[in-house]
Amino acid sequence: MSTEKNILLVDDSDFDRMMLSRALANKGNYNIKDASSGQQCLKILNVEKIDIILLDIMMPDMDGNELLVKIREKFNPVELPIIMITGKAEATDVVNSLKLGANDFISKPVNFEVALMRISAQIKISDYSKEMIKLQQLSALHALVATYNHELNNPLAIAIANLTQVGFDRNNDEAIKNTENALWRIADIVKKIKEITDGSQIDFVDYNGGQNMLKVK
Amino acid sequence: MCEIKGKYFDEATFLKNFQGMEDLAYDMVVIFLGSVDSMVAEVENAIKSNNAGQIEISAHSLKGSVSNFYAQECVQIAFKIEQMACGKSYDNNEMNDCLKILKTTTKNLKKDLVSFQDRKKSA
Repeated sequence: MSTEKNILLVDDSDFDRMMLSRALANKGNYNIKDASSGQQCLKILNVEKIDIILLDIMMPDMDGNELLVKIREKFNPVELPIIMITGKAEATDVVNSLKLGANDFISKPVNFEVALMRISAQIKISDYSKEMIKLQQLSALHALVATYNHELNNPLAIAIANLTQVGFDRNNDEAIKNTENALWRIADIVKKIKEITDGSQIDFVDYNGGQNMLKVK
Repeated sequence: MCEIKGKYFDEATFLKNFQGMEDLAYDMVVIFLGSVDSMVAEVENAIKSNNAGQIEISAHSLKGSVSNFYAQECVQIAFKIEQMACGKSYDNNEMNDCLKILKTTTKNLKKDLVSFQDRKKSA
């Protein structure tokens, strides 16, 4: 599997786009894709895996900040870092973009070494954050398995107790019924544990008014 | 008349940015020389059409491109045109004066870039 990261460069200036994409491809281990407009950028995001976006602020039709807002409806700053590229380096413009969800900014003319360092830093932060989320999910999984393991003991104890009783009195329907129910509960829990250990996808879902629970698919 | 060399093109800073990519630097000069006239023409057409929105966009675009050559004179005049258009109402005479300066500065930038190109070719 390729370890190259995919950079999407969005700038309406053909010259600026060409220069930056060639410089980044030359200096870094990156796969560069480019878009000349917001619409083109959104189309690419629908079909390609992009690891980081370099986004020009001032573009005709849809400007960089409008596009930034649209991208953030789908991808948060950890999932998809965005570095704004701007010839407008006034503090208010920078603050505005950062408030809207940009991770960082670079001024034009772009210093390639600075750009590379910032790209690398943002990708690392994103990768580490994703690893942290996986570890948290794993930790929750462990807790879940431990919980199910503990839960097994209860119906198992009932089953054993009732089996013992049935052993003395074969006409005890209630005991037989309790035993049957307990065994089905055990079977269900075992099935769920198997699904987890099979590596099924784990999702967090909002259950019953905001409580985060794990959904095992 | 004393000419200030490198006033319109900061070759040293430009080349420092492209360190290790000298071929790319040369290519960018060639490509820019092929496109700068049309970029200036876009600004001029927008000014002639009195289209503030288009003046702002085309001047901003030109400013971005010339800034890659650390061409401060060109950057400043393109920025001034962009700012005037951004305000939506501007004095036409002043705008046309700025356009003249823009044409002069980009012409001088081109001269510096052609000189750079020729030196690299013969090196």
